Amino acid sequence: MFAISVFTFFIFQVIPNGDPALRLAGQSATPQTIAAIIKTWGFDKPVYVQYLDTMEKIFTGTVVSYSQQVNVLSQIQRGLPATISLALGAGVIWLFWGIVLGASSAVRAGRFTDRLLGVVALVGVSTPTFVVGAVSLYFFAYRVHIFPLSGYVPFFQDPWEWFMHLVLPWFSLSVVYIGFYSRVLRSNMLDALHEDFVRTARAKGLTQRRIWLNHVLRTSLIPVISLWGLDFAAVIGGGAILVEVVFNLDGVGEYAAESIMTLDIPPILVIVMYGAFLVVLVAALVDILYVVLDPRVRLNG
Amino acid sequence: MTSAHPPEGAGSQTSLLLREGGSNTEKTATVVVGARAEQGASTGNGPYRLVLRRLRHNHVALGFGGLFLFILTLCLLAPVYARYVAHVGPNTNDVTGTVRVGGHTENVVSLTGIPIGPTWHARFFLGADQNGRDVAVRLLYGGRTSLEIGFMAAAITIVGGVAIGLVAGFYRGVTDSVLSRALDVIWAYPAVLLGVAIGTSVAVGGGITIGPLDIKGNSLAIPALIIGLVYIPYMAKPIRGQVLALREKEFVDAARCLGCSSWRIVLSEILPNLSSTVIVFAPLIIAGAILLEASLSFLGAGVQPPNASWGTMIQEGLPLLPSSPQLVLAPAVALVLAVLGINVFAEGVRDALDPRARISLGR
Amino acid sequence: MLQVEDLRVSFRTEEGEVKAVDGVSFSVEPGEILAVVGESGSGKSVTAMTLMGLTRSPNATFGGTAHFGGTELIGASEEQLRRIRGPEIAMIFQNPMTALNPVQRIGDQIVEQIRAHERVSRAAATERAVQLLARVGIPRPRELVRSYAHELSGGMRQRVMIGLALSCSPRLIIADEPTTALDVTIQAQILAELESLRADSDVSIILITHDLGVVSQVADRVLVMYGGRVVEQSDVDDLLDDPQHPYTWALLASVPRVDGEKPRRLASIAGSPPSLLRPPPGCHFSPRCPHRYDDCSNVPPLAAKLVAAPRHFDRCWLTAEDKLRLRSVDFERIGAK
Repeated sequence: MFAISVFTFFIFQVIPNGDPALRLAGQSATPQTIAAIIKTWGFDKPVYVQYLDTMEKIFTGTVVSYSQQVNVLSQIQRGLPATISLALGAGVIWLFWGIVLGASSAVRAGRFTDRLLGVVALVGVSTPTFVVGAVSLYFFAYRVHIFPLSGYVPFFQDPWEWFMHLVLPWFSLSVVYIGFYSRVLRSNMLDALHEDFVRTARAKGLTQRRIWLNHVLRTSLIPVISLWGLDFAAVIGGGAILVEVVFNLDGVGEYAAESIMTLDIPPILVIVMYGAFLVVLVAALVDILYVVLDPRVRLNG
Repeated sequence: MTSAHPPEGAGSQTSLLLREGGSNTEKTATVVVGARAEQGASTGNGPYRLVLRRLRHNHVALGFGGLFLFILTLCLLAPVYARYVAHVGPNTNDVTGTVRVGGHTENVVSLTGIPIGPTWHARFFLGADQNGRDVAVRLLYGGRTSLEIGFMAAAITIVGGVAIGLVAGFYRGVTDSVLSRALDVIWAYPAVLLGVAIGTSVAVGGGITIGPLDIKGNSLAIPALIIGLVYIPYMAKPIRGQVLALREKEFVDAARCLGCSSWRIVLSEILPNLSSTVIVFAPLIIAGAILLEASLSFLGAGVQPPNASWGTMIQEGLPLLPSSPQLVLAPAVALVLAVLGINVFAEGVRDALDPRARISLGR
Repeated sequence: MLQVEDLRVSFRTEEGEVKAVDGVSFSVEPGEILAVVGESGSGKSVTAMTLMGLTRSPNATFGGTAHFGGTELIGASEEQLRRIRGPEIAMIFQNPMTALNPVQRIGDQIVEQIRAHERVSRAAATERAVQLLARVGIPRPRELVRSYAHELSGGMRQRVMIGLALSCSPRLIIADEPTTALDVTIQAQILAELESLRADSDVSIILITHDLGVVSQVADRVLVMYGGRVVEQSDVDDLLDDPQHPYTWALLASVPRVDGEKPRRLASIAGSPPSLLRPPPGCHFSPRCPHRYDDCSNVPPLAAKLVAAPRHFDRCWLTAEDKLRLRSVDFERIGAK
């Protein structure tokens, strides 16, 4: 965590050329703002003091963006419901379909279904989320008016509209992960198929269905689920940025994107750092979860 | 005799390949064949011959590899197309111009600001964008940019990843912990977000100065560098793991007993054994790099205007999606086809090297 | 009870066709322990797994017949086989470390098999699992029924495997090198366990091993396999006292003995096992056989050649007299007997 904070700090404050105060101020800054920035961010002080100050600001939530003069943390909080709605729905969709398609692919390994699903998965993996978003937006919102164009409606305001506004974003975000997860699960399952204990299961006279579900799928799911935890964290921590931009979802990611367009550094700094923290936290949680899921880990710690 | 495991050691690569007969089909019993050395020799000259033979039979993989090469060639020929077919450069604005389509003249950009659609003629083959620039020309130039960055970034990732993985895996101890921590730090960021962060930071600063090296803000090297850096952990981690395993192998011990220096061992004993991993990863990283470049450019943190890349073209076309879908669809299709081509080819290579390997590039 | 006739198994590989089992015939009587001996790649495990249909795959082709009770195993449907696996024929595998599911409690693995074949409640099945564990000598079975495989020692796991095999009271147990992966002291315990099984019930056992020591301890009859073929078959005492095939001689000579006179040295068999991809013509052992002559380029029949032992078959062109002479020389030279 510490290393991440230092690294993030360095990305923004040390690598680039030019006066950091000028950068934070944005392009149309007056000399007064610049002077104020130098004072508030302490650019006249040594680097380690700057670092500590920045960290303090981030953790007390008092970072203020310069283009809009609003508190970054409150902006992030405003965007969280949309981002979490997006991530939760997409996460469920991609985990479900990833497992379904991966498992059916593995069961039919080498046959037509498998080949077809393999190609579909590869197309999915090869298509960036914003392309899926843009194309589906064009066909399902502009051409055929099934879904609303864009924007986000809070769940408590109108659940149906909330749902309709999120269908395409969920789909767009899921496609890559479905492709990826189904391939990972398929190869895990085909590996598991060669395990001795699967041969034992066959020798026990179990039905095919039971062998696949209880022995092959179950052991293969463990790594997939931990992968899901990490990806889910990454999506909430800003990975959904592309989809949010395409669908104008007004979430954390879109806030980051707007800040990029206006070259407003403080929000990006905060979002990137929170995002990375979240991933690290979830990675720790996943490690704990692993112990629950996989009894083998319990002894070796 | 079933389920015989291949002998550990120098021959494991070959046995690995021999172990799995058949193609992609599932196989319950594995059979040891050619236990005698002389018969093993008669079947081929080393493992790569077998790999190539498998690959040659995989027409799908070859076809898609060819598709990628085709796109690559077209993009490399972009200047030729611009000069001799479209007679216009990628950044030539023509907002007020007119073009003759089917016998009558039309505005390139209509009075309401909607650019012309595909004419299917030499000029504005795929239509124009809101600045009156030729989409087909920009598509090819943009592709060239995207692919160049993809290859540059992949080169950076592979060289950096292999170097870090080798050093960390071979020296272990403190060196390894420091390098592994550093990799974990980079790995903790969502890839797009990290790229965006560095990209924006650099864009604001107007370039990077590393020692005597001064790279301008709009240079293609910057996105390539960023993407290369972001992907290094994905390459270095598996390499490190493999080196850790390899250095315990008998043939490394043998080399050490013969008095070889560490560097000699690394270069002549370990490095060659990493080649299959690198071969499998290289196309995946190129594909990943092209995708990441598109994402970054789409967000404005990658290739800087007026340079075209598939990502920037999609970004610029997005507001006009309802009226001029070709602005988004053309680069999107090109992007997906190129990446798909590499990915399918990569999968073919992976299958050929080891039908049961499971290697993937996460996130 | 089990009658195998001319069993053939071959696998299609990228390199060509591998004839893993090439015309194997034998039978097993109720309550009998049949040992199948041979080195790696001799086809003994493939033979056993084929009986249970575990070698079926798109790349495998089968020939011959195997009658078990009233069922033909080779052509049986997958569902027929499924009903046989467990209640009729059970299998114990070589490596107890990997043969048990690592993420399923051992009790559940036994319960799963019971409930796959019998309509019993989960509680009743669990109770049976506890009793099975107690029977195969697992201490504190009521607690350990809830443990995972990795929490047990290798010997314990193999006991669990035996318990699992017994859970539906099969008529035939195929034990595929059940002691190979275990410590020597544990090996003896597991063998004793197998013997007591036979004493308790009239279950038949096919014991696959490469260890002639194991064979001499527990087996009634022996099948020696080499290169996918049976080269010798007889009662265990006959085989040990009067081995007929040069390969068996070599095999016996390579076993250390603690009784009798001190051996000068242990013999190894020159050369390496045949490639089943490109097997040598005729007798598969001929390239390594010190006594080969012209006839060996034709496949010898598996036939009984000793008047005194009509159930002692071997697959060698040498006459009984020749064998007696050559073998004495052989044993003299290697000092094994």
